[in-house]
Amino acid sequence: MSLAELRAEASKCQFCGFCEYACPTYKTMRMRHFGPRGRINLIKNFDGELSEAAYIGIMTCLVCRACDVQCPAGIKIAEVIHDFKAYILEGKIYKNKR
Amino acid sequence: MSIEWISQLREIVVDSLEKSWLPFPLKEDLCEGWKKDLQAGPSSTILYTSCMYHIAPVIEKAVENLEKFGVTKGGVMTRLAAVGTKALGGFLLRPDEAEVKRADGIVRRIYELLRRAGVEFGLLDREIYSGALLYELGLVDDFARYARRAAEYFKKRGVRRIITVDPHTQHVLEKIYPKYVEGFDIEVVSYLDLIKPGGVSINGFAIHDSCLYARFLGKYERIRQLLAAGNPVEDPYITGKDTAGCCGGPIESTFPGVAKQIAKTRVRELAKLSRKVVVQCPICYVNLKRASEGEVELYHMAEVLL
Repeated sequence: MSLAELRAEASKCQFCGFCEYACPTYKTMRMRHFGPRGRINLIKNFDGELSEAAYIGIMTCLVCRACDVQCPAGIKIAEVIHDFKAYILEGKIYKNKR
Repeated sequence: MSIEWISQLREIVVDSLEKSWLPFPLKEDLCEGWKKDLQAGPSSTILYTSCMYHIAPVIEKAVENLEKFGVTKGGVMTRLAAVGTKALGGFLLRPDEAEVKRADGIVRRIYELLRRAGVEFGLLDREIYSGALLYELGLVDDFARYARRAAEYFKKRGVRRIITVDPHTQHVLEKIYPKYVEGFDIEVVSYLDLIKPGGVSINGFAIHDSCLYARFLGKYERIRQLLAAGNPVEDPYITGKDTAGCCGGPIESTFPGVAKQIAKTRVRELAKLSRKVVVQCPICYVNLKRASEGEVELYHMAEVLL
């Protein structure tokens, strides 16, 4: 997914938080940016910069898909976060190598 | 963990794959020992390990070291070299001999289960890695380049059908290769769908599902069918298809501390059901083992199927 597609998919989030119930990192860390709702909203509001905390929140997603089935809006949460990770790495790693 | 760390990890993995088809500097024959004395004529169907059962204990050792000493002090290579052994022009990572023997035993067991079910297959002259780690980390460009090389490797050997032995390889070959490798049309099947075991050697265990098998590849019911004779203890949340917790494995090489905390949460949940836990994935095994500290006994699925 392109960044625009990722944002569009993330924009479906209605903040219900059902996804947090099954998220292993949220269950363990108990902080919103370690859960699907927090991560999806970081992506939705991404303006080109990520704080260190937001970066760690995104990069610790296990892409285990436990959140996907809980989402009433049907957001492909795991796929969005995985592709956003790839987008971040693309910008921070590959561009420096070229 | 910093971008710098992921960047260094990427360099190690990409460089190792380029030189040896394996994601870390490893002894070249590490993943070949299990084939000794087995029938392995050329065939268009192959049993493919992707070296996963042999790499997992190496990762375990490296992650332990990273966690203990941190990842920024001295850089990644220094940290990895500390658990490796010096070799000409560099170092090699070496798992414990007991872990290599166990990995050999598991893959040989899968070989036997398949043969007993009447499945015809051959073996590769040399195991190569699938590239799953690159994709899972989000290093998609590197993954795509490597996947094309690996697909060519299979094609040159006339491979038309691959039997996998772990969820990461099954997922990446079945679902991801076709997206990144033009014309990739090799059939990919899991050994789980081909074997016909005659029972289970332990009883009253809990099942730790692989997220990939359960939620990406539709194997949740098949695994229960295979393990039913051992009367697994189930719980709608702890072992439910949609809610079963991950082991933390996917981030063990980038955030080992968080991965371990997640694994501890998972071990606590499973221990409520049984002290015996059956896993289906070498990465799950390593990560839960690291966090278990004796709270549960871990068994690979192939070890308990009769």
